[in-house]
Parts: sequence; C-alpha cells; structure tokens
Amino acid sequence: MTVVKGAGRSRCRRPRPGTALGTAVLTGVLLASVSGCAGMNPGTSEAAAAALDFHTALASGDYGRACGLLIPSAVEKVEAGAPGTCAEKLAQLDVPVAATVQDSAAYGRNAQVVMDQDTLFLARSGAGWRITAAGCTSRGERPYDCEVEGD
Amino acid sequence: MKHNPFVTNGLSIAFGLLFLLSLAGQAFSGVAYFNEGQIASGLEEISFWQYVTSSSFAVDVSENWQSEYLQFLLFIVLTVWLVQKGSPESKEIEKRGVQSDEEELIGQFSKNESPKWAKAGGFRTAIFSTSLGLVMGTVFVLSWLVQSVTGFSAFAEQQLASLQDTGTWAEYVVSPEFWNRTLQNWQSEFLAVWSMVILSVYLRQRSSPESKPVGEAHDATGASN
Repeated sequence: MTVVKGAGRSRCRRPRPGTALGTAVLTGVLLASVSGCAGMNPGTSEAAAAALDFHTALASGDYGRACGLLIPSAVEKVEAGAPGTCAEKLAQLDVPVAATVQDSAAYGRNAQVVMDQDTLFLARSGAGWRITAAGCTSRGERPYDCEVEGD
Repeated sequence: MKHNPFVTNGLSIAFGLLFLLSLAGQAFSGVAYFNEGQIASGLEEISFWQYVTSSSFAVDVSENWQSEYLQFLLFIVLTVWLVQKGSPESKEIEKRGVQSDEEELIGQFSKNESPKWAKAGGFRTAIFSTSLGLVMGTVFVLSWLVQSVTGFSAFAEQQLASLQDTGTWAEYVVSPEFWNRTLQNWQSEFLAVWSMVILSVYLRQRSSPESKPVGEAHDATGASN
C-alpha cells in the first residue's frame, strides 16, 4: 500500500523541493555507480583467463589441474557413477580443446567465455573464477548442452 | 509560536526513518535469501557489502522507486484536470483545469513571503510552476533507466547460472522479464491511488489531512481536515 498525497488545498502538505531534489541527486548517484559497474562488467578478463587456463591444462594432459579449476559440484558429477578420479574421467570426456578466447562476459558472480572450439560457463570462487560447465553446445533458447556440468 | 523542529518536521522524519529501516531490512533479508540460493547451487556465500553493491539488490530497489515516482507524477499532473466528486484527493469540480495567476499567487499577484521564483515571472516562474512534476518525472525516468540496466545485469547473471546466453540490454528492455517486473509494480501503484480516491469519498479518518471531516457530506469534493 502506498501513501498518496492528498490534492487538497492545504499548502502544508506539499513536499519541499529540497526533499525531491535530494532524491533526484541520490538517484543520479545510484545511476552513475550502477551503470558504471554494469558497463565495465568487472571480472570479464579474469574469467577469460580462467577458461584459457582450463584449456591449457587439458591440452597439456594435466587433467588434475583442470579438475582443480572446476567447481566442487562439477567435480562430484564427473566422479559420479563408475569408479575413478576426476582426472581419469575428465580425460575420457569429449571436451574439445580450445586455444583462443573469442568473447567473454561477466555479470555479477557468473560469466560466459566463448573460445574457438568451446563455450564455458564460470562462477566466482574466492578471488578467482571456477568452471561450472565446459564442452558446451548451444541449443538455441534452451540451456547449453555441456560435457562437464555442475549444479 | 515557535515549535520544536522535530515537531514541525515530524512527518518527514518519521517516513525518512521508516524508509531507511525498511531499506536496511530489505538488504538483510535479501542477502540471506541470495545466499540460500548460493548454498543450494554449491557456490560460496557473499557478504552483506557484496550484496548491496550487486545488480540483484539494485534492481529490486529501483523497480519499486520508479513505480512510486510514476504514481506521484501521474497523480500530481492528472489531478490538474481530472476530478472525482466527493473525494478529498480531488479539486472542486468547478476548479478543474489550470488555475489563474491570481489564484496561484504568481507574478504581480505574489505575496511578500512567496518564493523568489514565484515572483520573478518569465522562465523562472514557468519552471517553478511545474517543478514538482518535473522532479518527480525526472526521478521516475532515472530510476526506470537504473531498473533496466541493473535488471539486465541481474537477468544476465541468472541466465549464465542456468547455462543460457544473456542477450543484450536492447533485447532485455522489450523482454517479458523487464515488462513483467515493471507492470507488476505499476498495477499496485495505480490500484493504491484508485483505492484512496474512491474510499476517501465514503470513509473517514478523524483528524487526518488525507480524509474529509467526519461529518462532511459524501458528495463534498476537495474538503479535508
């Protein structure tokens, strides 16, 4: 429920211009700061670096290090089912090896990195980024279909 | 007779405090709710400061602000011309439309204590005469713009968490998510105004300036305490 100002004749009920002006200034500051943050998309380059790091590890056969860059729930899913460590099972998955980042965007605590042969999704972890999904193929409006995927 | 400033400014102080307390409450409950989702997804919890500087919090605040200021803008402007018989929220039927300079106390009709820009005439009086609507309208436009930017950022973040593409801001401002957020706020604001305009015709609240005097007739328009 909203309090609505009466349209009666008492001058005492008109809001003072200073109050409305102060609100306008506050809104302007909010606009500037939030727009600035949204425009810069903080974390974009760090997410891209994490994705490149993951694929460098895959290309060099260092699957243990690649697993270390996955979020815990993705590691659990890779290890689920038949016995084997994350590194052993990751080596058997069909994740195409990529070498260059073509596009990257971070919003809040999530990011997407498009590489030449792969698309990855990441989430913030501490001061860095971890892979939430890799080996992803677009399905139009539906979520990507990914070889490696956390919750 | 001089009054204590806390008495003469009691209304703005009370609502200022209510605003600050409820904004703080929204922030604390919001970070708790956000972190419930983080835990469910096996991700790290975030701090209070990280939450209040996030697009999630900003869109939740700005979508409410824009609709409030739109409500005030439309109510302030439309009540110049539109009337409601019996409502204290309305001018008297005969006074609908723009009032004369004499009735508005501007220019040559201003008093000693009138604001400077009411006496000045010309451009300054023209601006001052519409300053309330202009500021309400400006705050509405700015906060709606903030809603669109922060809403896109929050939407994009959720899309990425769901392994979907984000789209662009231009696509977002014509998307169902943006318009659903906007219109769900607008409908409640317009319902509130409509309720107040109509209920105040037939109901009373003794001593409130938002109400007619208890014994005032139902068809008395523009009367108030």
